[in-house]
Amino acid sequence: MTKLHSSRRGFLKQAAFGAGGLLLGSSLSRRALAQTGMDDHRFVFAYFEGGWDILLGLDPRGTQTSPETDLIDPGWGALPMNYRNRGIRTEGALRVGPAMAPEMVQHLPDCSIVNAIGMDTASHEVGRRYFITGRFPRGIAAVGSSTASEISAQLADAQPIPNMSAGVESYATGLPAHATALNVNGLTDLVVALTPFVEIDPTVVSAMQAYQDEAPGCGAQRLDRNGLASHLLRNQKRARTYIESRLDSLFDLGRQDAEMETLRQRYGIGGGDTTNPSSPEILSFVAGQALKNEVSRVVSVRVAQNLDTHSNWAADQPSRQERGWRALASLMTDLKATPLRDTGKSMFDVTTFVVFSEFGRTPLFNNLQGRDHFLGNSCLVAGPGMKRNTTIGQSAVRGMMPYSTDLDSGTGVPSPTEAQLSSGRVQTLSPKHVLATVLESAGLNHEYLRTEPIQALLT
Amino acid sequence: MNKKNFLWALPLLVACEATPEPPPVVIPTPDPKTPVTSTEQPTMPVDHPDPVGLEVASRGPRRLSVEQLERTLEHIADLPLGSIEIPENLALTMGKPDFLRVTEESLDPSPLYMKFIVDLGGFYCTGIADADLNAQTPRPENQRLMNRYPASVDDGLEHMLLMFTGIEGEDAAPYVERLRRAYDAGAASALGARGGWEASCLALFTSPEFLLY
Repeated sequence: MTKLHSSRRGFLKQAAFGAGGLLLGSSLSRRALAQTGMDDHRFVFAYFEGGWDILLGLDPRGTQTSPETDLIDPGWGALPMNYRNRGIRTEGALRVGPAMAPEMVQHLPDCSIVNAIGMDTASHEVGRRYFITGRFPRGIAAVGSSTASEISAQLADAQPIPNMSAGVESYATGLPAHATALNVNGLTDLVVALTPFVEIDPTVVSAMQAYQDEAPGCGAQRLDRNGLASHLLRNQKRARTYIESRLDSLFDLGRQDAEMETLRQRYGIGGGDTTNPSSPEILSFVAGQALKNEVSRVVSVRVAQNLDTHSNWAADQPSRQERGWRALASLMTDLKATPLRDTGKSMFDVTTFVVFSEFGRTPLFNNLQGRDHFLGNSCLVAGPGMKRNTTIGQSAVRGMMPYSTDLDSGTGVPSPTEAQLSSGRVQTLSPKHVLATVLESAGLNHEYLRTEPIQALLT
Repeated sequence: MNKKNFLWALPLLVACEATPEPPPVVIPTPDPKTPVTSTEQPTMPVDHPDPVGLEVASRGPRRLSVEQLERTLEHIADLPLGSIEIPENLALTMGKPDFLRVTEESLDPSPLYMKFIVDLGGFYCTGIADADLNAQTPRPENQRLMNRYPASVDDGLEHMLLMFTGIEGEDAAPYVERLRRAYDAGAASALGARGGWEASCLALFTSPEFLLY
């Protein structure tokens, strides 16, 4: 007797996924949210994995800062010479540290920084999920849905993969089917997801599809009490579009045409670790292609990895962070270079960016010359509806803990008065505030976050 | 009992019969109770969803879990236990928990799940066709999923429908009609009858009647 096994006919071979495989959140279409009519708006959630050092990036301190008196050690003396020479760069109202790639500094006039974000956690999982969902996790379990999924739920279901998540966790609870992200760990996963990996005779496939397209039988109707059978049949058709739209060629880095050659150069893909399917360069490329080619409108992408530098900080943190900023800059450059049809705008002009990490790193070194997890954090945002080149919030001069922030002016308030606190307009910022602001700037519903947006950041 | 004792007990018996009757026992009347069929609902907190409208997840149709799928596929084709093993990474994609990051199986028939179901179906149905329709050494008829009744394609389709979905009798007739159309269309391929059986198998493999229960 024939024994069927997964290895047969190369099933396993062709399904050679990355270590984590593809993970999907679960959802059923239970909430109908109004379409916003924002046909062109796109969203990018760029994630720096591991906890970034904001002293090297978004909230730097000068050489005069003293570990003894200020309880902040910027570590200038330990940094490699090239970073030390860069120093702090100022671009209008923004100041950035030496790990910010020069390519990214060019985009700073279009961006804003939110400092003094209180994370209330020093756990990777909790911090990450807090920033992804805008809701503080229960234990380490995420509560609610990713902001990317919430946004997708509020937008029209008009793209083949409305919500794509490349190397970033995604959650979707009680949202329409199209809000669930296609989660891929790398380019290999994505290509596998978009390509049939079992050869079936085309006539046989047509016969199967004709059967599927007929009206469901009485058995399926009985199973549709809660809409599950209809949901399955809808998704069956959506799955066909993955393959029939031939999306895989968009992500084929091996293509030898001029367009792909330009993209390889733009994203810095050309050898060494940059050809790793999960590298920041390739994931940024995936995000760019998905956004530019109307494959997705909401993309979450991991642009930096392994920032958890409890030791060997000087060698690892600045170089890895810089690589992430460079990958992000490539994505922004690509979107700026791509016109939005004949509107006179670029793709960048209609794209909202949220650049985040799970937390910052301690302002003082540990005994391994590394930095541990810190409760304070910063993030970078850009996009229509938000002010450009603005800095919101301020961390403490001594010890860097987040000051409260005036939501209307955006200034830090070191010692808020009773009246200020009771007014509700002076608060310690959190990921909720940032995400509510992003949603507000795009005209989307953010009531579920139950917090006020940062008015000072809105145009 | 002797005669002397009997005589001694006689006056006592008479005395007992002369005792006055005890007062009647009063059975208390039960208080009226709230009928158990009351439909009154407690007052719920503000913003609490309507409790009557809340769905009970366990009572609705569900998608087969990955393990259920594996065991079902073995049963359908009369394969030994453990014959079907979906690769771990693919199983994660199809919703199986890894108990590190995910501890609850996702049973959503998502687009990607349906995409992989077609792939898995292609692998499964061609494998069964290899075994059942092999020109030299086909499986015995009573073990076959495909072409179980060589004299009648419709009977074979009805058997396949029964194995995949449990549908039989009168309910099966419209399905067999649909399956026959799929069979005929598939048989028009270069594969011939094998294409017909593969098309019918794939149609059932990807159907809600099979994937949901």
